Amino acid sequence: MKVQRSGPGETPADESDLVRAAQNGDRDALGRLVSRHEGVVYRFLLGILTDEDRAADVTQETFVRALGSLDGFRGEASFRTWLLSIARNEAWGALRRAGRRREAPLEDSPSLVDPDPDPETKALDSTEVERVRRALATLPEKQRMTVSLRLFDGLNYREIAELTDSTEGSARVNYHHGIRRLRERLDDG
Amino acid sequence: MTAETPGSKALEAPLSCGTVRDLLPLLYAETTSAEDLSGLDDHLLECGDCHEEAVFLARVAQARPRPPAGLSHRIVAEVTESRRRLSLEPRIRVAGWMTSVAALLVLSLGIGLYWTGGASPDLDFALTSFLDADEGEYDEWMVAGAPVLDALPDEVLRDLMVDLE
Repeated sequence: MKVQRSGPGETPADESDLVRAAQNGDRDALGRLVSRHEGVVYRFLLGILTDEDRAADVTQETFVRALGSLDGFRGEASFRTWLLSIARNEAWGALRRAGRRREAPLEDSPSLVDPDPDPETKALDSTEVERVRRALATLPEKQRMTVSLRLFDGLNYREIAELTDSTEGSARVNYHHGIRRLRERLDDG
Repeated sequence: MTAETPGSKALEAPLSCGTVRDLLPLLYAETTSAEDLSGLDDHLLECGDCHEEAVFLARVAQARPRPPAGLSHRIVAEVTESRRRLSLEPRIRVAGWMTSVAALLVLSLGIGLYWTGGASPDLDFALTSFLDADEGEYDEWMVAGAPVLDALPDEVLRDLMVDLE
């Protein structure tokens, strides 16, 4: 039996051309860059901010900041990694403004939701997607973000390590622990 | 470890379960090209554990959060608007500077008109005569070629008015 996989996705081969065209004010190129990366930026920010509306707002701010300073992009890192670094700074700025300072490193941050919700909350988790999302939200922040960046967006462990302030090895371990814990939560369900 | 270099020669050899577990999430990632992962299917057909892991990951991947509809349009519009504002900024700065200079000139002109307009006809006449007087007669009270009437003693002013009459 063949495992069903997601679509092939766009190749990043023409990424530098798109960036160059966007730098020169090509609105179409700008639109394609945004379409290509808005998902990963949004999910990354959702992992940090844990609020859909705020994640969408900060996604917009991230693109405005990044595309407004495209001249500063030297191509040393991939465009996606550069964009996500800006997103991380924007998220931390948003948290500071909201008075939610990040006191602890990511690894020690608590999970987002109670892993043992009351019956009423359980009833709300009616669909499979909601159940999985809720289980994901119970993971410690670093595991949750690593699983999201790896499984949803295909980042390699070096990129993940850079974005989560950890080593490549730790990122790998975080992914495997995260998946194992997720499986336990969903099997318990 | 060859997990980070899909498509390399290592994938031509039978894959270990460890390598497959490392690569499996890329099957479901949005930005991974399917052809990069050739060789995984063969392993999954033969290995029940890895196949079961793949099925589980597919289940989790279905819960991938999506940005709200229309976000990309909002972003493009905002970026375009932001760029337009930035391109206008230098022009606005120059216009503002020029407006300040113009306002200063108008103000200076106004003050000048006020003072000269407020002077009496007699004084205008006196000033004209003062300037037309014999060279050296009032040098003592001249500054940069202009009379300083405030500095003239009353007696001199009186003499000046008599001369003028």
